[in-house]
Order: sequence, then structure tokens, then C-alpha cells
Amino acid sequence: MSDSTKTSGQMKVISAVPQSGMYDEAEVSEERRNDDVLITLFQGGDQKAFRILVERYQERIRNLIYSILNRDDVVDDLAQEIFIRLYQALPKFRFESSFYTWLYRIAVNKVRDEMRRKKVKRFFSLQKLMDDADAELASKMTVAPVDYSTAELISKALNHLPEKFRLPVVLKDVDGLSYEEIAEILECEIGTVKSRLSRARAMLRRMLKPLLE
Amino acid sequence: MRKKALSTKLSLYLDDALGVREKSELETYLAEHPEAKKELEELRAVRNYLIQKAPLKHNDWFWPLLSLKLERTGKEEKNVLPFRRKFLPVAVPLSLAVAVIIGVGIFLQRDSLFKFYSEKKEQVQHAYESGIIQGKILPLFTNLNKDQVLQFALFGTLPLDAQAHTALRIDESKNSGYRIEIAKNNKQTTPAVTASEFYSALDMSPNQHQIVDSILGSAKERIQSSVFVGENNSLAIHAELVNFNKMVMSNIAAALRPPQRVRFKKYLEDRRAPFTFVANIAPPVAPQNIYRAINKTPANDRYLILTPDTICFSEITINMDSVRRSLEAAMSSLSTIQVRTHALIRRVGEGDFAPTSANGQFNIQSGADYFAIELQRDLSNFPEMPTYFKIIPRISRATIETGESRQFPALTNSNGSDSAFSVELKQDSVVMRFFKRGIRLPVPPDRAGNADGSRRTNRSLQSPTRRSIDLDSVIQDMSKPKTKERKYRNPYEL
Repeated sequence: MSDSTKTSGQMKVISAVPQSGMYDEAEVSEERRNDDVLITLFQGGDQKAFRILVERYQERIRNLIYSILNRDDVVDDLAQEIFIRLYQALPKFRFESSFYTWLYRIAVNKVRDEMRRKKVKRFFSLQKLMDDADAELASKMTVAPVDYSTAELISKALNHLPEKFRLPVVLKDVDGLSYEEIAEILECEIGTVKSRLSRARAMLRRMLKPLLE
Repeated sequence: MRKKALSTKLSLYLDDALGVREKSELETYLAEHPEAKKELEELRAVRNYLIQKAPLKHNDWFWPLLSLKLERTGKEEKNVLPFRRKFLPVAVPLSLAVAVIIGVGIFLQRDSLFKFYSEKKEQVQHAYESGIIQGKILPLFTNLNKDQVLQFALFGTLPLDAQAHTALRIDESKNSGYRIEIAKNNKQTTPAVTASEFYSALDMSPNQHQIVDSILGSAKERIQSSVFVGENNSLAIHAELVNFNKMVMSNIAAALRPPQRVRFKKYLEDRRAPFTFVANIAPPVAPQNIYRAINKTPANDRYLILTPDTICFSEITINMDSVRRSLEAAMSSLSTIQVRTHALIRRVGEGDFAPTSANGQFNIQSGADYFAIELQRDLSNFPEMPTYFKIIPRISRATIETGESRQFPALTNSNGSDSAFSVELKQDSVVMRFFKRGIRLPVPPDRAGNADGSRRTNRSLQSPTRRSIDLDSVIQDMSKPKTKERKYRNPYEL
């Protein structure tokens, strides 16, 4: 028996929230209210409330990480680190912003750290030089074109976007957040979000031109 | 419309974020410009691809793994501070303030502190400069075992050289003082005793084993910090050592039950130990009181300094920590001690060890195989250690039987002098009779005196017509609980 069925009807509403994509306005506000209840319970010492929060958001956070990094090998580790950070910080949560934008900010910051770490690692890695040389050699030797699926092409195109353009487009088009929410998560102006989103889409359109024709 | 502006407006149009007027203007523009409309369709297609991006597979193990990690993180983050973490901002400045106050206090009192330590250092320096002790000093008995400590407690003997049977021996002199001997060929003087054999002979319980082991452990440390050897073949013996063996024996006796004390006295008698104790039927002393009685370090800095040329008392401060450090630092220290000890022994053997007392307070005797210092009790200022039982010189069986003076066989030298002390028959005679022929219980008053009513004499006590009781039966009787019907009388009470 799952926790959601064990608890009250309020909990059933929680488990009925879709994992990703666009949300109904009423559903979202209901979800937020339930988040606040769960956080209050957790701050009062109820550890089960944290499990419900995790189960509610784990897939969204995992998919967010996967969309940004396009790597499934680090998704679970990073997601767990994010929730550990959440567990440590949740007692200090003051309800000044909505919970999920706060959680997304934690997640985005963590993913940014990972990207920078990877960048530094790549810079200092001799293996990368050898890999590049091998790839160059392989590309010269390869005659037949590589047949990527559409999903792979989309992922590769996203991967080629710089971080500051990739994050808004993922948050908007993959996670379906509003401009205000994205601005809150990325801690920037709404105008900046609109501008970056526009440029990101234009870049993607150029990169995916063969797929679109 | 400029390309960048068009791109932004198309993006906003896709998200339905344009105002009504802007939206109608853009729609008019798109109707007139098919390339712009195519761009919009392409952007919409890109967005649809992103929306339709397949999500990751659900991970059933996510929560179990996360909860494990949370548990581990919680353990790592446990507060190691002796107070609640929220007091840290108060505790740190407070600690710093206390440290600063202490520092300032030390700084202000630096003169008196410096003076205090200088005086202490000067005392040691004086001892060094006057040639009493030269060079490094090292503890002589670094590696005593439990058996050797027990041997010291019972016989006052500490082995200097096992192969040469040379020993340092503490005894009482015949003129009511103390005697410290370094004697060769000492093998007959002290029979080999082991702690395990001692425990079984006295039928000790495991708890008593533990107590006696602790007493011997403390005594070992005390002996280690009581006898030192200097680089110039000098020997420093702490003044209290002359009484310490008796104190250890007294504490061992205190841990025993009355029947075991009887066995202990018999044990001492059988092995011709130089001392025995005046036993009583008091219950065993509480272990904590026994432990408290033995200090592991001497109470003062009064040492008897013995060099090949002179003997004197001196107040010297020996820092045991630094002595231990220097012992550990020198890899060859143990062999150094051995060499020095052998040198001392050789000098004793060759009769070359003839120091003189500066003020005549020591009576020095020496021979081919021994060297002895006799100290006046009143002159030496040796503190009497508190003991639970009075430790007295034991009278040998031969002394009672023959009436001759007591002799220590191996320590008897060629000149005929010995380490015997005056016989104190009164104190121990009953005990000796007890072990010799069995105990004689006090007789009723009507049978106690002679025919003329005078007190009974020793001769009357030794009469074969008196009732005698076997020792074993007495011990068994003493072990039984007392009852009103059968009142036990202490055989030691005269």
C-alpha cells in the first residue's frame, strides 16, 4: 500500500499531480497548497512528509537534470544530492516564494555546478585530447552518415546551446514554467528570460534545419 | 521588421505572451510575409519536439537510496561539540576571552612563575654541580614484572642482576633504623615467588586477584619512580622506599579475609620472609580505600644519593615525564642501565665501593659480596606510611627453638656481621606457636593460673597436656559465619 493511499484524501490529490508538462491552473494552486502543508508538517518533525515531497518531485527533477545535461548516468546521483540539500534547507524555508521554484533553483544551481565541474575536468583531461584525436581520425575514416533518431538530434542540439540559453528553453518548453517562474529560478529579469528564450529557439531552429525541412 | 525583433516577437507569439494589438500586428505581418510564417512554423515544430521529449524511466530505487544517503549524512553531521551548535557563536568568543585572560594573567605573574621554576631548577642544578649526580639519570627498574614486585613486597628485595643474583634489599637495621643493601649471591635469601602461586596458596577470589594485581601495578610504578641510576655510577633511592614494601604488604593483607590472613602469615613464615604483620579479624578493606592509599609517585623530593665516593640526602626534583622521554629517546638506554648496574655490582664485588658519609648519619658496612647502609630512623626523617596492619619483623622458627639471633643466610658476610635486628619475641611469639604446634586456646580462668593463683607462664602454655587444635580446622572454623552459640575468639589477641 502506498503512502498516498494510506493518508487522507488530501494526499490522493498530491499523487494525482502529473509528472511533467503543462498543468491546469486550479490543479497547480492546489498542489502548492499541499506543498505548504507538507513542509509545515516536516518542519514540525514529521519525516514522512518529506518522503511525499520527494516522491512528488523526483521525476520532474530527474527529467530537468536529464534535459539540461543529456546524460542519464549522473541523473540519479545529482537528483539525490539535490534532495539532500533540500532536506537540510527545508527547516529554514519561510514560504516567501513558492516551494517548487525554490526547489528548481536548488536543482538548477546544482546542475550549473556540475556543468562547470565537467568543464574544468575536460580542460585538464589529457584523455579528452586523445578522444578528440580519435574522433577526428574516426570521422575521416567514416564514410556512411550516422543515422540519429529525432530525439537524439533534439538532445544533441540542446547540448550545443550555451548554458545561459539552454536553461530557459528547457524550463519553458520541457517543464512548461512561466516567464515569471523562470526569472525567479534563474534569478534574472523577465525581459532577459524572453530575450534568451527567443535566441535559444532561433539557434535550435538553425541547428535542426535538416529535420524541419 | 528587423530579424532579431521578428524572432523575439515570434517566440512571444508562440507562448501567447503578446498583447492584443501586437498579436494582430504580427498576424498581419505574417500574412504578408510567407518566410516569416515559415520561420514561425519551424519554431513551433522545434517547441513541439521539446515538449514531446520522452521522459526518463521511473527509478523505483530512488527513495530507498536517498533515505540511506540521508541517514549517512545525518550521522556525519552529528554535533561533536560539547554544547548545542546554536551556542557556538557565544562559545567561541567566550573561549577566546578566557584564553586571553589566562594569557594576560600568566604574563603579569611571569616574574613569580619564573622565580618558582628557577628555584626548582637551581636545586637540581646544585645537585649536578656538586657532583652528586652527573649526566643523565635513568630509572633503574624499568621492566619489573608482577612477581618481582610481589617479591619486593614480601622480602624487600629488588633484582639488580638476575644472572649474578645481585639484589637491592630493603630491611630494618638492628639499631632501630633502616638498612639498604646491595648484595651479591643473594639467591638463597629470597625464595622465588610468583603471583599465581601466591594467589592459589591464599585461595583468593577473582575479585581479590584483581585488587592485588592493582596494588602490585601501582607499586611497580612507584618503584620505577623511586630508584635512579646516574651516569657517574651514582644511585638515587627515594627515602620512602625503605617503608614502601611494608605498605604494599599491608595493603595486600587488607584485601584479604581473616582466614586468608592466617594463610598469608603462614606463607610468610614458610618462606622465611623478614617481615610479618599483626593480623586481626576485621573484614576486608574496601578496594577504593586500598587504591587511594598507594600513591604512584613519591610525596616529596628527598632522595638518598649514593656515589662511589659519598652518601648524602638531597632534595632533587626528578621530572618523570622527561626521564621517560630520555629513556625512550636513547635507543641503547636499557643496555646503558645494564652497564651502569653491572659497574655498581662489580665495584661492590671488588670492594671498591666505599663511600663515606659526610656528616656521620649513615653507618656503612661493606664486604666482598655486599654493601649496606644503615640509617638512623630519627635522623633520616623517613615518613611512616599509613598502613592498615602493623608490619613487624618476623621471628624465624630457629630463633624460637634455639634462642639464637636471627640470621639471613646469603647476606652473612665473611666478617660475620649480619643484617639481623634485635629479637622482639613478645610481639610475634603467639603467632609462631600457632604455626609451630597448632594453636592453644586460652584456658578458663580457673585453669589459667598456677596453684598459687599467679599468672600463667610461658612454660605452662607450652605444656603438652594443653588442648591443641589443628591449623586447618581453625581456618575452616574461621570461614564459617559467626553464631551466638559458638563465639569465635581471635587467636592473636593475647
